[in-house]
Parts: sequence; C-alpha cells; structure tokens
Amino acid sequence: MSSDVFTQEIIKDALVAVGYEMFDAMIRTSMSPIIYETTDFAVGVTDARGNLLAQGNGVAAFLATLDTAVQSTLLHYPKAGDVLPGDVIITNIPYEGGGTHLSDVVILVPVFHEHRLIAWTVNKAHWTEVGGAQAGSVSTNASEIFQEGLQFPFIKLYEQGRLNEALVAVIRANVRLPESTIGDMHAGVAAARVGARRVSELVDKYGVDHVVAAMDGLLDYGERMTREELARLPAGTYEAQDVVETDGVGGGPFTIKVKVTISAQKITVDYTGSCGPAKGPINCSYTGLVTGVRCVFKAITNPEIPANGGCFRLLEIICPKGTLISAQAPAPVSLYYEPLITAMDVMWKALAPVMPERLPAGHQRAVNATFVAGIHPDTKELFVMGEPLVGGWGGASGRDGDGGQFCCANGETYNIPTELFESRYGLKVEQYAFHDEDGGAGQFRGGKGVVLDYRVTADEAFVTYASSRTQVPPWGSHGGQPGSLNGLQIIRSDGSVSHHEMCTAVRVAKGELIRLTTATGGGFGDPRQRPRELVERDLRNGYVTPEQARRDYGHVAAR
Amino acid sequence: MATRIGVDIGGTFTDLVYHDEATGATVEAKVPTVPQAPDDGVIAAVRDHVPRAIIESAEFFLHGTTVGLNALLERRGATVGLLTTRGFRDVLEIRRGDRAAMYNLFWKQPEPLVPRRRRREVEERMLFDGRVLRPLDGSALPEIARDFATEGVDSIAVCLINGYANPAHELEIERLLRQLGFQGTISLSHRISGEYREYERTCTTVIDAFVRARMAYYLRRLDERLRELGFRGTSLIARSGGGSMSFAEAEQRPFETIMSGPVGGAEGASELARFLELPALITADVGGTSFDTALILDGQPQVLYEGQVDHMPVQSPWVDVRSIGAGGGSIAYVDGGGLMRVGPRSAGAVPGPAAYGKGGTEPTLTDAAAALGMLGAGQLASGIVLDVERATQALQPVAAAIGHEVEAAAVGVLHIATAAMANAIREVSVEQGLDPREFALLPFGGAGPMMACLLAQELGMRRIIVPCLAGNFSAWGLLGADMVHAAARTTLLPLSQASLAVVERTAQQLFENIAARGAGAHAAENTVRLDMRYRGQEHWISVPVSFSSVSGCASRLEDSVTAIAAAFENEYRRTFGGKLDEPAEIVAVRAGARVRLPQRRYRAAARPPSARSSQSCSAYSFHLRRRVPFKLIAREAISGPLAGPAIVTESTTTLYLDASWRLEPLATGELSIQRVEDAC
Repeated sequence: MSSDVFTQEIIKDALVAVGYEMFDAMIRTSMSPIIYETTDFAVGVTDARGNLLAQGNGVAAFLATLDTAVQSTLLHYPKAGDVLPGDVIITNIPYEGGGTHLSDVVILVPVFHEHRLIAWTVNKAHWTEVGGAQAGSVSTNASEIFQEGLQFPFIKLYEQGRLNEALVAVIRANVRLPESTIGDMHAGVAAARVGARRVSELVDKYGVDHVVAAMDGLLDYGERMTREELARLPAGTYEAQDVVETDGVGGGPFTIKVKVTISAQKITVDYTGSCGPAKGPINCSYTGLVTGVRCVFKAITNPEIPANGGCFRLLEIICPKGTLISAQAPAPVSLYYEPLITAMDVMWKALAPVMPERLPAGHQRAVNATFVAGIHPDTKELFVMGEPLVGGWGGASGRDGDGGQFCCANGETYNIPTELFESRYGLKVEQYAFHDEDGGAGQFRGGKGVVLDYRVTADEAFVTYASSRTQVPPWGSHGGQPGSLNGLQIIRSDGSVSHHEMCTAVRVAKGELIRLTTATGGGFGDPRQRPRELVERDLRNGYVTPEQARRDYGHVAAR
Repeated sequence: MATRIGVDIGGTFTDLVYHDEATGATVEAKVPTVPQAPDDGVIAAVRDHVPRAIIESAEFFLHGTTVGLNALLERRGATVGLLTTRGFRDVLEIRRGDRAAMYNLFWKQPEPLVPRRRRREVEERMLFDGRVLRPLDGSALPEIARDFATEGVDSIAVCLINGYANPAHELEIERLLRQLGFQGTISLSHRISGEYREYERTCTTVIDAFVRARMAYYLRRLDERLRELGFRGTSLIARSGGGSMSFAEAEQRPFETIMSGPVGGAEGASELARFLELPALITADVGGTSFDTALILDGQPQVLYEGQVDHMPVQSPWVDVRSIGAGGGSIAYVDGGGLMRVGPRSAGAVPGPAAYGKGGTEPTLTDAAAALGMLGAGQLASGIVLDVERATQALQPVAAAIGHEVEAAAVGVLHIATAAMANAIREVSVEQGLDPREFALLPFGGAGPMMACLLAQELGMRRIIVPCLAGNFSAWGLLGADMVHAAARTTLLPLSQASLAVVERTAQQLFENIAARGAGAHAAENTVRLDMRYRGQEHWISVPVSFSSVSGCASRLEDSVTAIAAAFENEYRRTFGGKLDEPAEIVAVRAGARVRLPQRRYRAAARPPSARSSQSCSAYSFHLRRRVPFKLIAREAISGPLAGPAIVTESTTTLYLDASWRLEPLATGELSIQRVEDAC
C-alpha cells in the first residue's frame, strides 16, 4: 500500500463529500420546512464500531448524536447476525446514544461488504410532529416524557429490505400530520441510503481493505491533528459554574458545575456536582451534554477541520447519572438545548481566562425561541410564527464582540426577514435593532443584543417563549463587565407591562406590543483600558451612550 | 460576422482572443495579469497582440474583469452613507444572524461596508403590499446630509423597508438629497433589486454604492485608452448572470458584473454545447489559482438568482459556477497530521511554479505534472520554458516528509488535486439530482486539458471535448456573449387566473424598466420566468412561462393556470424528487431580454502543416501506473485519430492523453476524446 498517504487524503475528502451528498439528498427529499429551510438535521458516516468518520450539519447541536446512536445500536444488537444487509434502525430515545428530544429522530443504515459490516450511514432530523400533548411535540410545561410524543427504542424500520408496516401504522395513528411525518421518515432513509451507496462505491474502487484501513487512518489522523493543538493548550485544572434560571413550571435556579483538566494527553471535563433533574422540560440527555462538550473541545483545538471520532479520543467526559444534564427516564426534555448550551458555556467560562486567543467572553447563551399564533387579519387563516433570535457575543482579546448573532448551538440558522415576515403573519415588525442597555463594557466591548418589537395586527395572538440568561447576565472576561439579559415583555394597551422568562400561549390583543430583548455579550478586559479614540468612535456610532461612556469608561467629553 | 476582441482578466493571466471578420481567423494571446493596474494589462495585450487594422475595424470589445470584485474584497471603494426606515439601521450589521464557521467560537462576522454612524434612519413606512403606513417625513434630511458631508460621504445608498413594493419614498429622498445639494452617486434599492428580503437588498444596494464610482472610472478610462488605440466599436462587459452589458449600463449597474469572472467560460461552453448538440456538459476550467466547474444543460448554464461575495449576498442573477482553490499554481504541503494536501494557497503569477524558473521554490500542481513529464518538455504560455529540474527539487522536501520518492509524491499530488476537483464536479451535478457519468467533460483554461483524462477517469465519464483555443477559452466565450438585461420584482400571489393579470402587468413594467436603461429592446428576445413555491415554503424555484411578443415587447401571457402549475410541479419534481399537496404560489416575476450578437465560428489561422513529427518523451501513465513513452505532437499537426499515451501541445495549454484514451479531431476543430474500450 505504497500510496497510503494519498489514498487516505482522497478517501478522507470523499467521506466528507459523502456527508455533503447526504445533506443534499435530505434537503431534496424532505417534505417539511424545518428540514429544507431551517436545516435542523445532521447526516454522517461512522465505521463499523460507531466511530465518527464524517458529518454534515445544519446546526452545531448535533455533533455527538450520530456516532453515539450507532454505539447504542450495537448494544441493542450485540451478536453477529443481529443486524443484516437491508436493515434500517430507528431511534429517538433521549436517554441513550443519539438522544436529544423526541422530535429529533435518528435513522441508521448499516453498510455491508459481502456480509461484513464495514460502516454505518446515519441521520438525525427534527421531524415536524411525533405526537404528544402539544402540536409540534415541544412545550414549556411538560412534566413527563409521555406528554412529548412517541418513542422509537432502537427498532427495525426495515428488516432485510422489508418495511415494518406495523410500525408505520402506529406512527400514522399517533401524529397530527401523518403525511408530513411519514415523509420525514422516508427522507431520512433515502439520505442514509445515498450515503451507503457512495461508501460501497469507494469500496469497489479502492478495495475493502484499503477503505477500512483508510477509515482507521482517518481516525488516527484526527487524533494527531488534535494532539498537536492540545500540546499548545495550558495544562491545569479550571472550574466554573452557572445556572439555568427556570424550568417553566416554577422550579429553579438549576446549577451546572464543571471542572476541566488539561494535560498534553487529554482533556477531562467533569460535571460532578451539577444539580439534579428539573420537573419541567429543561432536562438534557447525556448525548446532549457530549455534543456540547465536543463543540467547545473542537473550538479550542481545531474548529476548521472536519470532525471525526479520532479528534475526540483525547476527550474524557464525566457526569453522574440523573443530573439535569444526564437525564434519566421519564424526565421531560423538550427544551434540552437550554441546559446543553449552559453546559457548553460553563466549560467555555472555565477556560476563557487561560485561552484569550481562542475564547471570547460569554454570549447571550440562548436560542430565544419564540412562537406566535393567531388568525391572519387578511386571509383569516391560522398562522404560526416560530423563530430563534440573535443576541450579543462577548468581547475578545483584540476585538469587540459581534452584535446580533445566533447562539453557539445554532449554525446555518437564518432569521426571518421583516419584509417576508409581514407578508405572512398577523404581526408588524416595528424595530429590529441594537438596544442601548447597560452591560458588556470592556477594553474590548461585548457585542450588542437586539430589541425586536412585534405589533399584533391580528384580532388576538398567543405567544410562547423560552429562554435562559434571564436573571444572570453573560460573564465578562479578564476584567470586562457582564452583559445584559434576555427577556420578553408584553406592553398592553393600558400601558401596563408584563415580563416573561418562559411562557406558553399568553394572549396578546390587537394593537398590543410583544417586545423581545436579547443580551449584550460580556466585555473583555478593563473598560478603563479602552483607548479614548475607540470610546469616542463608539459614541459616534451609538454603541455606547454618553452616560455609559462616562460611567463605564471614565470618558470626559472634550470642551 | 463582426470583428471583435475579447479580453478576460484572470487571477494569474490575462487572456486575449480576437476574431477577424475578413479572414475568419481567430488569434489568441496570454499575458501576465497586472493586479495593481488591470487596465494596463488589458491595453498591453491589445496593443502588442492585435494589429491596428483589426482594432480599427472591430465592432465589439468584450471584457471580463474582476475590478469590481477586487474593490469589494480589498474594501477599496466609496465612502457610503445609508438611509433606511426608522428601526432598521442595524439590518446591515446583524445580517441574517448566521455564523459561517459553526464550531469556531472565535469567528468574527464580516465588517459591514457602512459603519453604524453613517447608517441613518428616516420616518416613513411602507407595507409589504405597497400601501403607505406612514408618509415620509423628510425633515431630518438636512441634518443627515450635513453629517454625511462631514464624514466625507460621496455615495448614498437608500434602502427602505418594503421599498421594492412602492418606490415613492425612495424617489422622494433622492429628490430631497439633490435639492440639498448632494452631488455624489445615489443608489436606490428598488432600482437595484425588485425583490424582498431587506438584508439582501440593502447589502446589494450598498455594494452598488461602494463600487460604482471606481467601476465607472475604470470603464471610462479603459474605453478612452482603447479609443486611443483606434477602437471605434461598442465596449461590452460580462454580466454575473450570463451575457454582457454595455460599459455605459455597467456604470449604472456595476453590481451586476461583480462575479463575471467565470462567465466567459460558461458562455463559450453553452455555445459549443448547442453547436455540437451535446445535451449535458460539465466544464472544468483549471487556471493558475482556481478550479471552476459549471453544468451546461440543453445548451444553457444554470442560473441562480442570488450570489455571495465575501459572505455578502448580491441579489442579482448569477451563473452557477462552483470554485475551489485548486489550480496549476496550487501549493502541495504536508499538514500537522502527516497528510499531504494541495492548495488552496497558490504560487500565483509571481513567483509562479518552481518549474517556471521565476523564483518559485514551493512545489505546485504544475511542478508535479512537469516532474512526471505530463507537460512534455517544451514551451508554455507567455514564453515560459519548463525547468523540470527545478520542479523536481521543489518536490523533494514534501516527498521526504512522507517518506516517498519524488515520482510517487508527484503522482500523489495529481491524485489529490484530481479528487478535490472531482468532488466539486459531483457537487454541481449530484446536487441537481444528476449523474456526472452521463455527461461530457469540457476542459479548458491553462491546466484544464492536462487534468482532463484524470478527472474523467475519476468520475467515470466517458467523453471529453477539448475545445479550440482551450487555453483561452474564457476569452473566446466572451466573444459570443450576447447583450442581456434582467429585472425582477417580488409579487406574492396565489396561482390563480386573477393573479395572471397582475403577472402580465408586472412583466410589462419590467420590460419598460429595461428599455429605460437604454437597452436595445427593439431587437431583443424577451423571456419571462416566475419564481414559485408551495404555500408555506420559503425557498422557491424558477419556472419559464410563455409570453407572446408584439414589436419586441412581451405583452401577453400565453400559459394557463393549469399549464403553469404543471410546469412548476415538473420542475419541483426534477429538483427535489417529489411534490407536495399544498397549493402553489407566485413569489416573483423575472423578465429577461437578450440582444444577440452576430454569430461567429472558430476557424484557426492557416498555418503551414508541420512535418508529422515522430517525437516522443517519457511520462508517467496513470492508467498503466508507470512511466512509458508518450507521443509528443503539436495540436495543429493532428489530422486524424490518435491513441494515447500522447501529449498534445498548443500555444496556451497542453493536453495529457493517457493510455486507454483515444482522440479524434472533429471537422469543426474540437478534439473528441473517448475511453478506448468505449471507442472500439
């Protein structure tokens, strides 16, 4: 195998390309906007044992969901012959590998070469609807998993190429939009099969031994690339903690604690000491936690190279069972992403003091998902608007934070343009702009949070909202100030104002205002060290008010 | 037929082709690009390579340039002030909120072209259907104009929320600014784009305002200098969306030229596909720094209706050409994990590959090919003589780092570059639900023919067409770029009989707008497309509809609701492999007008037939996996079928014909290449 090093590079690129191809196939065959518009899904390839080889993502929060799904599948089907060519496995169990919340369903296709299992192609996608108490299968007030929808416990959707009709009938009978849900299911199978076919073509071209050797080599390569970066990180032990403020049903705050130990050999991330489960749906599965930790691990090692399992060999994650971030059945998990992001954020916070060139100060740390439903005043039809909201990122060594960006769990996520929004929903956007709340001062400023005003033009509308960072602001770094808070206000016709952190279906009347505010990011460095000309430029740009300039930066206006 | 001159500026070389009407002859030249003063390179190429008589008799000068693009990339443009609706001045900075590098927590959003202090708000508000919610209050404008003057603003962009649906307020602001004495350029969003999505339209308007003065200066100066050389014809520049536009129109709509770089090649490929009746073609344009590939179906390039430059969207038609940083100058290296990589860093024109002997020491794709004998041993473009010894030396350290001989390392470099290019080709074809194996490959650019057999082999493609003037094919393609105009307007409507009347009216207005740009609408072929989607979707696909044409203006919609619905469903099925049960809706109306340039065909200048040489050289065969003797032959000496292994040289490129491939010259001059097992 004299051409090893070249073949390996080529097979590496080919596997990454398989990821892209499955991504396209998913978009092309999907029938639901959350897949082909929001790209709330991930596709990938693992080796026979479930080591991640390549992954294509729409959002960051799926980084540990494919390989761990394969690993758990192998525990359910341990013996040779348990999985056969033509089988397709389906799972959405939150508490095992691949699990997040029930809406995210994993489809797994084993790839065989002459009865030898050589790889898996996998996808995980947010299905439109999996049943449960609320339409869309997500709520802010579930207290048990059973209210959140159907569970598929690692069962065979296809057996040797034969569709499991009984299972499909059960799904059909239990969801509100069966055509759409069954469509999502078939799209997942089609995408995984496209990947399987391309892996088989690689085997035909290079031979099975070469391809399997290249897979192993690829994992070793990921490990080497990561080890090289690891050596540049400061060895030591770093700790931090923070909270998720509320669980939607009156509980909270919930503390998440971490101890990160870095050596040249590995990074150990230990969440021992984090609080127990919540009653409301803000519990996060262990897979969700692994995803979060991997995202930060990747950010501090090599964010630009495609992720593979070898990169994560140097990562050890410790978390006792049954915490908020290692949820056990039957904890509700709809809003798992808020604690997931918090787990990411505390690791990030622990390391930021020693990695100023890799990690900025804290950001808005929330998806800020908002849903508004009502009857459109022109068409008289039901509209349901749902979107995440951008906020401020933290200041960093040498530069100010980004203003108005989606949080770290998002990725290829786009806001809804006002011009499109107003043509579709019974709401008018009155402003979508940076606010000037206090917070985020620093030698390098935190990026600005935004204020988004929806004026209700329908007769009435109902707003559902879930966020965190509603009481404790994003942290500053190296002497920078903390940022500001996320939150929702409803400004009534009579001038009264109500404040919300999590709420379900609150009525808002025509002419009243829904005001969403997101956090400004934390500052980096002592604000008094910010050069006068930059403070003056900020004043001209309106990034700071004269009052903030005087109070936070000690700026004295020239006479 | 009309005599014409085409000049295409690339990252490494500036290509020139002219076509002489009197003799039918076509002549080509390649000169190094002058990045600091691109017009100098253009003028030098024309002055040194085109006879005065041709310049004087030429009817068209066709130009492909990256001047606008570079102004944007290097942030060298006007000082722009932006006026927008109260509550929306941060749209330009927030963008769509997406983060391009998902796992990089240190990622930085691109700096907006207009800083916040020069983004100012006015009281006014339109609704999405064009109704005025709040009339314009222009009382703040005098103060804003004063502040802009203090800031040195010389170009103002105006983009109001829903301004595309009713331009009254944008027009009124323009009037008031002029009344206040503002003398710089003013870009109004509704003139730039009739489409919704405020960030994309604002960004496009700002880009227009940013590059307009620079582009106008460049075009005027170039036109003047051409006239000094005796040119008396019409100057045209390539459009990002295909075809060309006059310099005068480009001064008004410079954003339409931003991504015109790869358009010449796609135009030439489309023309050739129509001429040779090839239903499906994939281009492989390998230059010094990049690899561009495009899909040509039924003689047409694929057009997208929005593009991106440097993470900034541009709302204008866009030929779908995918680029990756892999070309003849791409540098090979060994990364921290011990794998060999090729590109995207390039040795460019200076210092260039080591084999050029101009001071380059890092090993490039060209060096690997030279070391393997794939380029023969002769002259390259621009009088460069290959130095195989230097190429081999440059490869030495990389070979040592991975523990291989130079020859094996060079083979690896070629394999890696091939695989990367093949992945890009798969992306353009597979994304459309198409299998590249069904396509013919059209290689061009200085290094295209060198890579052709490797790429076809990698992708399982059976047929390659090497065009005439392959090394300068983009410039040749420019010569055939018809004048094209386009306009679009977002018009949200259910698909119904009543809506079709609105579509018809909108299309007529769009054609009137195009005519008002001074376009020669009288001779134009007009087309209308509808952007459509299923209700509830955000993205759309574009469907052609039939309009009857009366005296050059499209005037009547011929298709019924049923026919349009069927056309949409077919297109949706082709693109996404299924259909939905939701009703269809119309998102936008697109009008296009094409003024055809006179036809021209390639005919090589008559040359004395060189003696049928029996030269050969030793080169590596990827098919046989060892060095074998290759026939070495000049392209003009080919008179009949030729089986590989062979190396075919011409003045601006070199064809590597591996064993197992066989070429046959077509009567029209192209080389048709097929795999031997298929040819038998």
